[in-house]
Amino acid sequence: MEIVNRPKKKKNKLGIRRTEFIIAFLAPTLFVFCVFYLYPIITVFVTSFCKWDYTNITSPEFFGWNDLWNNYDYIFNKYPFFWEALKNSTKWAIVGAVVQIPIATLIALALSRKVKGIKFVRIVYIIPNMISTAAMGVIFLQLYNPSYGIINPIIRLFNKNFSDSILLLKGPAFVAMTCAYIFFTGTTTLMILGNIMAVPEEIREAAMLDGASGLKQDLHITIPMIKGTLKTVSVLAATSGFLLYNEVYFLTKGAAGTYSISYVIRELAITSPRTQFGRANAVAMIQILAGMVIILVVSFVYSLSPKKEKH
Amino acid sequence: MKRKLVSVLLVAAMGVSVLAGCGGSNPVKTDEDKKAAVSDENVLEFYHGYYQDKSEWAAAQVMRDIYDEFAKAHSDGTVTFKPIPVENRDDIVSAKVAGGSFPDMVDVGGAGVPQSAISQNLVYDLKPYIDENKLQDAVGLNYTQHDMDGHIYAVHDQIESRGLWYNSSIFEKAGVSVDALKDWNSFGEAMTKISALNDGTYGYIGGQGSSYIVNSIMASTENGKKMLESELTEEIINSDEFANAFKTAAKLDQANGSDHTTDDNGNLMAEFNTNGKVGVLFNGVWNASGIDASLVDSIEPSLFPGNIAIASAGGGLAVSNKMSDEKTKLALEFIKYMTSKEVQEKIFTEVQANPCNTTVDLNALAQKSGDAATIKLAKACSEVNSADTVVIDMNYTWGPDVDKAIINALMECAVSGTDVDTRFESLKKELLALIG
Amino acid sequence: MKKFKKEKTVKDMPIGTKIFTYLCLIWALTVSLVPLIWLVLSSLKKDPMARPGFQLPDSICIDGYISTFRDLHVLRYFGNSLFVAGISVLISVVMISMSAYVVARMEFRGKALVNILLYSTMFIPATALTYPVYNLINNLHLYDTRAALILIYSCSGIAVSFFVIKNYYNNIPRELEEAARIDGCGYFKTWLMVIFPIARPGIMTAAVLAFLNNWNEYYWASLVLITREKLTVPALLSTFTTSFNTNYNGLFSAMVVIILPPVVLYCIFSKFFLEALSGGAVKG
Repeated sequence: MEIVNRPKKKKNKLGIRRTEFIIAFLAPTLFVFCVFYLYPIITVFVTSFCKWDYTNITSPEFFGWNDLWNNYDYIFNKYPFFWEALKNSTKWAIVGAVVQIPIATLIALALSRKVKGIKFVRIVYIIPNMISTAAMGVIFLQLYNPSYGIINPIIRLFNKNFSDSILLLKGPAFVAMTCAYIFFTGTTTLMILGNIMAVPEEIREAAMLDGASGLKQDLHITIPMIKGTLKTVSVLAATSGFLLYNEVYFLTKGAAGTYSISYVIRELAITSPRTQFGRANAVAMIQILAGMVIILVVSFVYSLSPKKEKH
Repeated sequence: MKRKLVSVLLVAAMGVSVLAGCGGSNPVKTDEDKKAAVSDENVLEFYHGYYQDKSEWAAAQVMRDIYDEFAKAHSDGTVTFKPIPVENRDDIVSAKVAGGSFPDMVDVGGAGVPQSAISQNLVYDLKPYIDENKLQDAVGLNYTQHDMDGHIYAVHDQIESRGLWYNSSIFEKAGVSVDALKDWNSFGEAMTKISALNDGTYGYIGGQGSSYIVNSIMASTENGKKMLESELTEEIINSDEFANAFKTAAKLDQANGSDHTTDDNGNLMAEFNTNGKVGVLFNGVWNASGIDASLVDSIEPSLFPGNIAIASAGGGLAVSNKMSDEKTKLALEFIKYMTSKEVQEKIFTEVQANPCNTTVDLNALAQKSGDAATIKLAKACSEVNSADTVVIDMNYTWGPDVDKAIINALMECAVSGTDVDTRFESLKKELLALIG
Repeated sequence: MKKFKKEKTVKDMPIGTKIFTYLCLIWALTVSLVPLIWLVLSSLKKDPMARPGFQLPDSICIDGYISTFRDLHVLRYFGNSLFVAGISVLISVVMISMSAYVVARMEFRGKALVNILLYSTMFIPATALTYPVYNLINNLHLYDTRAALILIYSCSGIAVSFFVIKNYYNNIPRELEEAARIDGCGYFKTWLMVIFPIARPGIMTAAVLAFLNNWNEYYWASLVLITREKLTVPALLSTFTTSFNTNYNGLFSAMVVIILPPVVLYCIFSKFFLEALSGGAVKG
C-alpha cells in the first residue's frame, strides 16, 4: 500500500549516518554506471556532433560550431529511413503501453483467481517469453511464410485469391510484426500478478462486504492499488516497443516501411561499409531523448487518472 | 512430497551440469594460461568463421582440419599458429578496428575487409608478396578484383561464384527448353509457363535472388559492367542501365509473386533443392552440395542469360600490418599454403566451393571423385570460370546497405499491383541519400 | 482456514466475472500454446517446410534432438549459461536492491538524476557500447573468460531490475520501517532484516527477468567468448545456420531444448514468489 511521503523523523540525530548509508547503498550501482555506461553516453553525445566514419575511426573530428548540426541535418533531411523509423518506433512504444498493458492486466486479474489448473496456466503463459526474441523472429518468419505458413491460409478463407506475402504489404507488415510480440505479455503479467496477489486479503474482504465483487472489485479496488506497478510496466513496455530490433531484423529487414530506430542505428554503424559512427550516434541521441519523452508521457498520463484514496 | 523430491532432484541435476560446465573447462583454462604466458609475440591468432559442428556442416570441419594441418606443420617454429573459430567475427573485427587494432590474421569471409581498417593502414598489403612469389595464378581472381590502387588487402581462398540452377524436369513438364535461359524475355515467358502448371510449382525464388538479376542485366552492357565495378555514384543511380536492370527484374518478380521472395535464399532453398517445387534458383555453385539425392539428376547449373557469371573474391584472408617480422612471415606462408594446389583441391572436393587457384583442374578432380555433387559443382564452376562476361557482385562494390535497399525495393515490387516506376523513383532517392 | 475463505471467494464470483475470467484464461492459453505447439511439432518433422503448419509429422524425426544431445554437448552449454547467468543475476540483483531501496525510500539531492541516468542506460545502443566494453574487458585481461561475461551481464540490464525492484519497495508500508527504527535498528539492519525479506518476491521477479535475458543473450557472449567450451546456450542455435543453409529440424529441436531449464527452474521457484504472495504477504 502506497502512502504519501511523510516528513522524516529523527533526521538530525541520524543525519550523518543516513548520508553514509545512502552513499554506501548507491555506490555499487553508480560505480557500475560509471564504468559501463558513462563513457558510452558521453561518446554518443559528443560524437553526434563529430565527423566520425571509416576515414577517421580512431579520431572523431568536431564539426566546428558552424556545422554543429551536420549529422542531425543528414539524419533529418537526407537519410531516407529516419522519419519512417521514428514513426514506427513511436507507434510501437504507444502500442506497447496501450495494448500490451491492458492485455497483461486482464490476464493477470484472471490468473489471480483461484480456478482449477490456474498454476498450469500461470506457467504456460510465461514460456513464450523464455524463448529469445531472435528465436521468436525465426518462428514467426515461418508462420508468416506465404507458401507454408499458417497466416495465408487463414486470409484465404476471406479472400480467395490472396497470395502475397503479408510481410511485404505496407500496413499489414507493420501489424504482422506487432502481432509477433505484442501478445506475449508473460513477464509483464508476472509483475502485475505479483502485485495483485500482494493486495491484502482484508481489503478484498472489506470490498466484498461493500458489495463489490468480481470485476467491480477489480476495477475499483485492485486496479487503483496496483497503479504504481502499472506505471512501471507501462514504461518498460513502451521502452521495449520503442527499441524493437529483432522483429525487424528477422521478419522484414526494413522492407515495406518497417524500419525501427534501433535498426537504423545498426544500419548506419555496422551494415554501411562506411562505418558512419557519427551519424549513428546522432540517431542514438534521438533514441535517448525519446526515452525521456516516454517516461514523461507515461508519468503524466498516470498522474491524470483519478486519485485512489477511496478505500 | 513427491513433487518436492522431483524438484530437489532437478535442482541437483542442474547443479551437476553447472559443475560439469566449469569442471570440463578448467583444464582448458590452465592450458590457455600457459599459452598466454608465452605472450602474444609468439602466437599468430587466426580468426575464422568455420565454427559449426561437424555434424551440422561437414565443410566447416574440413576447413578447420586444413588450418590445423598448417599449425602442426609449423609447430616447431618460433611462432605458434593458432586458428580460432569465432561466431561474431564481424563485430569482433569492428570493435578491434574502432580501437585502432586489427586481428593478427582473419578470414573475413564474404564480409569484405572493413574500409575503416584499410584507411587507418591497419591491414598488410599482400601484393608485393604475391608478386615476389609469383602467386598470381594461385590467387586467381583476387589478383585483379582485390587490387585497390596497386594494393591487395585480402586473398579469398574460394571464389564466390554465382550462376543459376534449374530443375530440368519442371522445365520439361512446362514445355520449356533450356534455350529459354538465353535472354531475360524468354526467361520471363518460361517462368510464366511454369506457374501455369498450377500444381504448386513456381518460377524462381526472388528477393535476394532477384538482386542477381539486376546484377547480371547491368553486366550485359559494357557501360553497365563498368558501373558495377566502380563505387556507386549519382550518375549510376540516374543511368538508363540501372533503371532498365531494376525495372526488368522488378517486373519479373511481380509476375513471380511476392509469396516466393525472401531476403535470404537460405530460407526457401529447400523448396528447390529438396522439394523440387521451383523452376530456377539463383544461387552460387556451392548449392551443388545441397541438392537432395532424389533430384540430383534433374537439377543443372547454368549461367545468367547473356552468358554472364557473377564471381567475387569478396573478402578473404587479411593480415595485420602491425606484427613482428616472424609473425608476418608465418601469416604470408599461410596464405601461400591456402592457395596452394593441394589445399585448393581439398576446398573443391571436400568444402565444395570454387577454389581461387586457376591451375586446379576441376573436371579431372570431379571425375576422379565420382561423386555426383562434385561433378555438378565442377560443371557449375567451369561454366562460371569460362563465361563470356564475369562480373563482381554489386554487394562488394556498392556496399551491403545499398544492396539491401535494392533487395527491399525488389521485394516490395513483387507484391501484385505495385507500381514499379514509382517504387524505382523512391529507390533512387534512397540510394542517393545512402551514398551522401 | 485461509484456504477455505478463498474458495468461498471464487464461488461468490458473479457469473459475468466468471465468464470473463475463463475467456481471459482461454486467450492466455491459446496465445502461448499456439507457437509452442507449432514449435514442438515442427521440431519433430524432418523437413518442416514439406509438411507445414499444424499438420502432424508423417514420421517422427528426432534427429535434431539426437544431434543436440549427442554431438552438440548441450549440457555443457547449459552448465555455462546457468553458471554465468546465475552469478550475474545474483550480483546485479543484490546491487540493485540496495540502490533501489535508497532511491525509493529516502530523500536526497540528485535522486532524480540517478533515476534518469539509470533509465537512459536502456537507450544506449549496443553499437555505442561495443567498443568501450570490448576495450574494458581487454584492459582487465578478461577476454575470453566467463568472468568477462559475468561482468557484462551484471552491469547491463540494471535499469529493468531497478524499476521492478523500486516499484516493489514502493508498495511496502513505511510503518514497517518506522517500527523497526523505533526498535533500535539502524538503516542497514532495517533494510536487511525487515525490508529485504518482505521485498523478496519482487526481487525474485526482477531476478527472473534478468535471468531470462541473460539466458538468451547472444551478442555479448559471442563477442567476448571465443573458446567453444565456454560458450553459452544461444550459440547452440547458431550452429544450425551455416553461411548457405539452415537446418530447421535441428534449429527447432534446439529451441525446444534450451527453454527446458528456464521452464523447470521457473516451476520450482514460482512458488517462492507467486504463491508466497497470495493473501497479501505485505500487510498494511
